[in-house]
Amino acid sequence: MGFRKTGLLFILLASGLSNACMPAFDEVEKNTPEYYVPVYSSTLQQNDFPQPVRNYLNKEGVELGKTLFFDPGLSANGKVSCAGCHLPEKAFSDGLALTNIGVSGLALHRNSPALFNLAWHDGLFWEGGANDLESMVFGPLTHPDEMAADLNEVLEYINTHEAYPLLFQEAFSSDSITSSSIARSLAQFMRTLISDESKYDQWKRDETELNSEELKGYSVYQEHCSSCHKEGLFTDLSYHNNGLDSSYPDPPELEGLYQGRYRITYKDEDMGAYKTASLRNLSFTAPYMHDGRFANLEQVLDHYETGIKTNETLAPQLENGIVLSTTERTQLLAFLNSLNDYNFITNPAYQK
Amino acid sequence: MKNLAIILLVVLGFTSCKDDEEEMFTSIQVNLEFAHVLNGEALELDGKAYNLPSGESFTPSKFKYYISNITFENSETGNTYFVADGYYLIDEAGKKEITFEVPAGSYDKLSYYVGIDKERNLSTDQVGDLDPNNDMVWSWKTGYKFLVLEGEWEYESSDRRGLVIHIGNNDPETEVNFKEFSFDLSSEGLTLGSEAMVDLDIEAEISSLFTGDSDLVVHELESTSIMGGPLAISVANNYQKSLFSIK
Repeated sequence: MGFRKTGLLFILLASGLSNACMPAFDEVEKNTPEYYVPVYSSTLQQNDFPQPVRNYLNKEGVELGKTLFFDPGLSANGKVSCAGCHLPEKAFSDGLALTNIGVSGLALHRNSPALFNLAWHDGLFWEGGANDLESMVFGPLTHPDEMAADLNEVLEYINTHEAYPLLFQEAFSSDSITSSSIARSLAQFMRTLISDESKYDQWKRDETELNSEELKGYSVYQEHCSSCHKEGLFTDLSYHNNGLDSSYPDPPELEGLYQGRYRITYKDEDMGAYKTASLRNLSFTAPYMHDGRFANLEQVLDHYETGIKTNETLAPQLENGIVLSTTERTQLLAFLNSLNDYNFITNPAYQK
Repeated sequence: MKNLAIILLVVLGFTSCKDDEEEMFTSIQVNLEFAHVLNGEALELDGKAYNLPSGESFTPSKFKYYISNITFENSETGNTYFVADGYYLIDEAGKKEITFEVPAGSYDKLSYYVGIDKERNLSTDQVGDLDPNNDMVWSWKTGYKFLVLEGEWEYESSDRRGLVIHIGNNDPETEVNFKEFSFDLSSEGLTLGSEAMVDLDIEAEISSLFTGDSDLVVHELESTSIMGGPLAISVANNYQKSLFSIK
């Protein structure tokens, strides 16, 4: 920093700038973004914190992203913010099967996914079509049934806003505000949404103990669930057909929406496959599945026990369903409860 | 005295010209001008109907595509010039001419791609013609639409129905729909080098999407919304053969 300061001063002097220009120097210095890597628990079982070189986290960018996240002014009718469907108190999900609070008032075809530990996801959306958070942002922002934003109008809104131009300047050290800087700041904020303070995490860190029912439930989880809901993030971040439907209609206007990951890869084995949801924070994220078809965890476990629809792309682990005794089910549910992170949903850093 | 000055100027001018032609300018300004036709007729987007190769009627409403990775080459010396960071959106309803500077030299080959290379196609938080506000990105998967043709088709009925062709490629493993187009400028008498400013007129024939290795008959398609998969590959293979010609 000292070197940079000296260098800058030299340039300013060399440019023959008068003292009258010196406040600009202070401004530039103040505007240098503060880059950082967030701290996260070893219990997430992640070796590093991936972030794109072009968009490292910085304090100002994250703060700006948070402001944008809660701002309905980005939407076409000025009423729908990101947070409208991603509520902090519901681990950034919305508690609805298929929301219709978007600009068009039409119900979506997808359940609003919970947002946490996204830095480690290399595919966003239920079928993983978005490669990174930066690119993902443009989906909900512009979809007519979600925020329906015209990006050029969003830029006008931001550029004429009383606070945003300075916030962008501070976050990106540039006077030019683009669609990409909007996406990048939102991505930065979302990358900071880390959930690693559940009872399970504390137990793994030897800070607390699980009771005997939870411990037995942990064994049930390990035996029956952990191949897809891999310990750590409690998702393998992969895509599976978990037997929800036997066939996948393809009405042209829906652009392959019922085909799951197949619409992205055009690989036969991806037909009807969706991203494995994390088992963390389940108490806050009902209803479940990509279309929110199951209202509670009992229904989910009923599905895995007796409701599996078999076809050629079904995940092999589910061929015989997951049959648990009543006791095992109770134990499993007790363990799943230990994955709820109350610190995450009340963390002041994530509130409006 | 005045006459002498003129003579001197002419002589000096002539001499320097004769000594070294290329020293006269350090770069060549190249203007690529794109014109769009369908079945040989100039493209209009205001409700005019055209005949597709299949004989079906088509009323276009949108035609736009990205030109990128432009390269000029001297096939004798192997000298090439690559237009760095050159991603240009050509739109029948918008910009149809692009201009850039090429270092002075002789170039007898031009090549460019329709679409966006793998590296740039992996994310969409970009600027300029790649800004996602250009209506050329998918909302549910990351990547640019390389070429877009939309309109309404009609066959043996008065019902017009939508035809949507969005060619892109979101598969990081391959660049199957990222197509190169090459032109031999010398055979057109258009070798670059002797002038400081060059206009190259390029015509795009939209019929080429529908004919080639696989002839498209719109009313026989399972879906007239072509956004990826084998059908998009067929369309891209079709137009790679004969979309562009230099006029």
